[in-house]
Amino acid sequence: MTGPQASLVFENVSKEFRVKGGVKTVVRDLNMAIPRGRSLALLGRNGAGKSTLLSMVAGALKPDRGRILRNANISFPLGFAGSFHRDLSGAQNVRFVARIYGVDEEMLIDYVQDFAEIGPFIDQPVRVYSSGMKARLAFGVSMGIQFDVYLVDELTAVGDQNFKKKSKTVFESKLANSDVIMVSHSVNQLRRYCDCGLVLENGRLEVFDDLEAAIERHHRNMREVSGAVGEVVEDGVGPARRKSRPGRRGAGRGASPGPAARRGSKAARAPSRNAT
Amino acid sequence: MTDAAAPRKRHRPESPFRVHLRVVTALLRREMATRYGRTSGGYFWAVAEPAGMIGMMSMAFAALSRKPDLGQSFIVFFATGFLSFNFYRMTALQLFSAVRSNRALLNYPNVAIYDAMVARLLLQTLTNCMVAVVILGIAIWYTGQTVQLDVAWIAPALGAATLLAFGVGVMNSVLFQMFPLYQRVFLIVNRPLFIISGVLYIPEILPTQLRELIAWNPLVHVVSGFRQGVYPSYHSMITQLEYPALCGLVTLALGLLLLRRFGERLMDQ
Repeated sequence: MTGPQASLVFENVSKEFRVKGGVKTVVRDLNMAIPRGRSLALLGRNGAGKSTLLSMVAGALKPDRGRILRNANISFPLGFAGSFHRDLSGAQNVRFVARIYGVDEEMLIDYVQDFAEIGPFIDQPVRVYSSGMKARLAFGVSMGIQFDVYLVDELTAVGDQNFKKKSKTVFESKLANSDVIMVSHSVNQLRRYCDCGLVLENGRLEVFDDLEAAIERHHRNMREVSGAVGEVVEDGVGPARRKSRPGRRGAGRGASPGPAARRGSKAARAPSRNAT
Repeated sequence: MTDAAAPRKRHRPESPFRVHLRVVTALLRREMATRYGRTSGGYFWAVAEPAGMIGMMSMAFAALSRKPDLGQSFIVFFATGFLSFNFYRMTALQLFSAVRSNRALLNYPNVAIYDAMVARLLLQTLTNCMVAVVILGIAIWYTGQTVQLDVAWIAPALGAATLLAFGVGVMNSVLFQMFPLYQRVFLIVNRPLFIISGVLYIPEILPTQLRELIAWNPLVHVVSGFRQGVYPSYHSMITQLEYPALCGLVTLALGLLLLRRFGERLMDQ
């Protein structure tokens, strides 16, 4: 077992999709431990599988092979509203989430009602909500439960200016004690919330202890849209990781593979994350 | 913003079983609230549907012949048949759609596909029990039919029916997604299932060859087993509840294997 500090452990995780005319690989033989205390930016071109990877972390998708261990209280995708039942009231829907996570139902309902600013609508069926109200309710539920790790797939602002400001403040206050795994097209947003980066490309996940290095790699990948992407990436992996500054956060806490990599090296597909 | 008001949840290693229990309970209560949706009357319909069916069949058959194969009352005879049969049918139907209607909830890391199935199984079985008690109770009281309830037959019969429903339900929830054609064929073939399950007659009135043929249908054993627990005079020649129970275990094992191997396909679509 990995130490208690790892909130997420990937063990030989592979995932692919059958698509028209071939197979689309999301990740192949991924071994990685994500320690508590690091916030990750997940980078990659469109269709690289960032959202799929996030869904696998959430548990909505299962890996084809391998497994993902969750040693922390991991959120559902931030602002997820897909679970709201149209015929149930806002309060009933919130209560359901509270029960799943074992938090106090009435406290969560009060919090969400107040946060989402929907007042008496909390007792109306969700089908009569405006899309804005539904989004605020969903965001309120995400903020109302204290998670160890928040999963964010494109942080989209909801509500008016005031609400946006409030959401931002609360979300940032959450991150004082929690980590985040974030997919975003906005580099500025990633810089704001994350301190290290993962770059997903052709089924391989490169780990960068330094966010700027990850962004740099991502931009390089984007420029090499055509051509022999694989070869170029190959020689970039090692140095990029070495370039990161291990002293910055203490050796044990880096997002670099650590124990997982050692375990991986025993396997036949040793440097699996580097090989295509 | 009073952020301190947010319920805090520290992560301590919680036993997976407790999480499962909590999630199943939450799903159960959600299903109860949404099952009949906007239809007014709610759970009244869970009783009214089979009651209407039994009432109509009884009237039709009472006009055709003088008395049923067992006892004096068509109502009680058909009630015992339909109600035990429904322990299989209703539960299996609920399980077929368990994944489809709960797919969005799998975005919660705590919720697993098995939770949704277990929740539906429990809710439908509880509903079946309630419906059976209400309808059979009223039917026996209303008709004055002499019965002698024997739990030693009733419980295993209904248990076997539920196990069979669970197995077939889990297996088909995967197979239906993989082979839509199979779903169509299965549902068409299953529509007249109650005719060959001995709901309207007892298998003993059939000629030997036909009876032996019909005994391959596990539900025949469920229905006749249940009737042995209601009619003291009835001693079925063919009932073997091990058979439907075994069918249930085999399909369940197969279903769980399929779910493990192909379960993610259910969610991708």
